[in-house]
Amino acid sequence: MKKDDIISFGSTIPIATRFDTNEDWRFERPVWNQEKCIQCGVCFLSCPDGAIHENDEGYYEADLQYCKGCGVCIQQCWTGCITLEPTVERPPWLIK
Amino acid sequence: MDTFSVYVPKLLSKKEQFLSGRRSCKGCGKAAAARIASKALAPTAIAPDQVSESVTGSVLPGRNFAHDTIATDALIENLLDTVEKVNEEAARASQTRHKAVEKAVIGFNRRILEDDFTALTRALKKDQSALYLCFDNEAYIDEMLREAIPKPFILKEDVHPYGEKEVARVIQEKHMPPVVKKSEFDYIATSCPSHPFDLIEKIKKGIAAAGNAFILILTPCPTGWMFPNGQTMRMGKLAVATGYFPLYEIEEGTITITQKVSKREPVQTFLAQQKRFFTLPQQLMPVIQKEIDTFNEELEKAGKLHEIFK
Ligand code: SF4
Ligand code: SF4
Ligand code: SF4
Repeated sequence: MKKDDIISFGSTIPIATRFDTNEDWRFERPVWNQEKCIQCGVCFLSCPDGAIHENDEGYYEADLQYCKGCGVCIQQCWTGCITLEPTVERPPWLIK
Repeated sequence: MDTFSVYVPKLLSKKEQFLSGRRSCKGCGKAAAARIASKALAPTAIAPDQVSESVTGSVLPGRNFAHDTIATDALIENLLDTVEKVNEEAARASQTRHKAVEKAVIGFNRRILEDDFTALTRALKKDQSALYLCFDNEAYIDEMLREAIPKPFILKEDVHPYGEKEVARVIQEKHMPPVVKKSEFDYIATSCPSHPFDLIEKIKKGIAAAGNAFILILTPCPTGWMFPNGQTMRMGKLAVATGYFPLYEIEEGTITITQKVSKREPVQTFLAQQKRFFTLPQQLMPVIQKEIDTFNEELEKAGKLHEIFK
């Protein structure tokens, strides 16, 4: 086990958070590539925070107020059309 | 998940029963399971579990559970009492035998069964039948791991460290809590949020069952199990693929394996992904593998309930 591995445990829960949004839980945000999406809704079903909703065109997108940037939707998508885009810089002691 | 189920999420209710804005960890498997369950049960009442209520029950200001939380400070028993009272009042108000709540659905942490051995037995004595969803994030395994670490020689050893027997017992009880094996249920099943359609199907069957039903749900927990939080669903799939947590159901005493695994992977692949096991002595690995193999073989051979739950 590497030393980095032990420190990385801390990346799951923020030490202090704001109480009106989940914004500060995440370092990345999920981005949808609509060309590849087959509109199956698997990402919608797998989000633990219920942050994904269907828009008028039938594509899915995340509500960035509630998304925690966990990456479960990215793992579950069949076509691999969701990617993580960094939003804030990860502190050096938190390894992915 | 087979190819036919890809578009199933389209058929589920779009209305969110389990609202966003809770303070559970990123990628919490328990939150995912509770949310999928709420999709399966759309107009039914669901109560949050009491043990991690401090985590999942607190929400952003102005946000609350879509369903009323009936009595969150009390145990399963008090919940059923409340349901009975609600039913009585509804019957009195409408002057008929109309029931406001047909079947109660109660979600709780498996920890309750470990701490309060008689909680379920007391609840089963009541007239009100219920579907029990037992979320298992393996919080009790922490104690086992803590005991497995040898004590520094200065400290007095007053607790016997976990050895082969204890680990074997934990694995034997993993598939179903002993109290459930001894009680009578019309429907018993195991499930995992990594197989969402399986979970939805089982919850619907549990609701339709005549009497009490029990579903044990393995919920991967990134914080407790120590794995990257995007891997929640993968971890659940690995648990099923290695035979660590086989998915089966028992309907009227007949056992069916709902997720057939043609070739089990070694359990090492599952345990090695989780950093919580880094204190687990390597010589215990064959014991775990042996217990898992024994249970899976028994499960495949058994056709009736009494053949596996002795
Ligand atoms: S990153 Fe996590 S919280 Fe955000 S939309 Fe995807 S599954 Fe939901
Ligand atoms: S899982 Fe992927 S392909 Fe399916 S709806 Fe979501 S983004 Fe589109
Ligand atoms: S500790 Fe585990 S079960 Fe509890 S909220 Fe965090 S991820 Fe979920």
